[in-house]
Amino acid sequence: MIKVPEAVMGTVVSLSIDAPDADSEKIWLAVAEARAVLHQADAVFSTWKPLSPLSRLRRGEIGLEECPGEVAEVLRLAAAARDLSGGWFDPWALPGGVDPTGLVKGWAAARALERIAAAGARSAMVSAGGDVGTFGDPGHPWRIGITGPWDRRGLAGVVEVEGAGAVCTSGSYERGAHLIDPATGQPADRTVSATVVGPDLALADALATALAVGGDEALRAIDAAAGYEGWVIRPDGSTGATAGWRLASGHAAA
Amino acid sequence: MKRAPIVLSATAASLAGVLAFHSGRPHSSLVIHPPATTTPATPATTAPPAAGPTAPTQPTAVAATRVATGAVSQYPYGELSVTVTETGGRITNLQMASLNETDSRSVRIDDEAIPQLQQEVLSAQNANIDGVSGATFTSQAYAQSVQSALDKLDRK
Repeated sequence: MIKVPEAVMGTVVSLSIDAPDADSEKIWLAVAEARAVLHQADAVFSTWKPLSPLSRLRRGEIGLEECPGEVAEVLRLAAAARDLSGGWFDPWALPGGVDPTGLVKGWAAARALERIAAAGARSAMVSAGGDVGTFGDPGHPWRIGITGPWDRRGLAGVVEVEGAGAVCTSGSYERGAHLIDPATGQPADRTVSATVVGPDLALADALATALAVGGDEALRAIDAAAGYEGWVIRPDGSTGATAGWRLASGHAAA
Repeated sequence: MKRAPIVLSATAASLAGVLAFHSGRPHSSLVIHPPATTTPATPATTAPPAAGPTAPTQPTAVAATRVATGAVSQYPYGELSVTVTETGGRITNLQMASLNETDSRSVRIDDEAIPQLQQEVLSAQNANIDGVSGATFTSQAYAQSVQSALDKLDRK
């Protein structure tokens, strides 16, 4: 198992790679590409760097056509996530201009993981600050623990992912609400933890944000999104889930 | 909890984001065993009380204990680093190597959060999981430093 931690995008992206049969030179080349992908995403999409193309786009200094191609790609994904989430994820509703930060991390991590897959790894996992993407079979289903909002002596639950997939959790148990409800402009308080499992890491990242904000209403939207399942823990400790949600262990789904 | 002295290090922020408990061994996690009731280094024998120089010795090798301190990890309310002790391939202890918070509110929150995070890592290990989804601020910084320490241990 090769582990590559990379400090980027204000967090750490960690790759775990199992590639016993692959050409190790190819794998390390792919690792270098994966790191470059992450830093490139940071350079293009950082809202903290005043000269990033996204920052300039937000200030209206440049148009979309002057941005690198991946900006349009990410905004297309963001629009898809907005529709899938029933509007609970909406990068266009925030003050200060379009902000797709809620899925850039997942999108970039997925692209990094693609490089590793293309190099012939048997299985690999990427985690971008707690947003987890997987592919391949590590000899068992991937078991991903979900951080608990209160029951911190254990995990809130464990989900299993077969092969390729994504598990993203959005929560605010430590510092209080830090997500803004686009419907009210106020801090979101419908959930304390929201997890989305699905095939695409970028969309799962966005949908977890949507679910954290929208709670049960967003849950209904995710229920209708093919391939995605969601689970929330509400402030009163009760839980809610989409019809297809399955926990391997932990809380029973509501 | 007892605070380690504050260390203001210029170390680059953080390595690793998720608690990925794969060890260097393919197809196995660090964590298949049930929760240990004794540490591997403690011989749990039913040997009679030692009665002199003929007291039985424990023939099995004592499990190797290794210690590594993770990178200093920054978060919006301060910075921290964690020292991980691994015995016989299992995490047996976690300690704050450094902790520096920006304000008193963060100190209060971390007083509560950090012991829980320590327990969380040990629990995650016992849950036999490959990764952890969902980490914000303190827990993310904590996970990063722990992962960094684990990476040091694995890389030998």
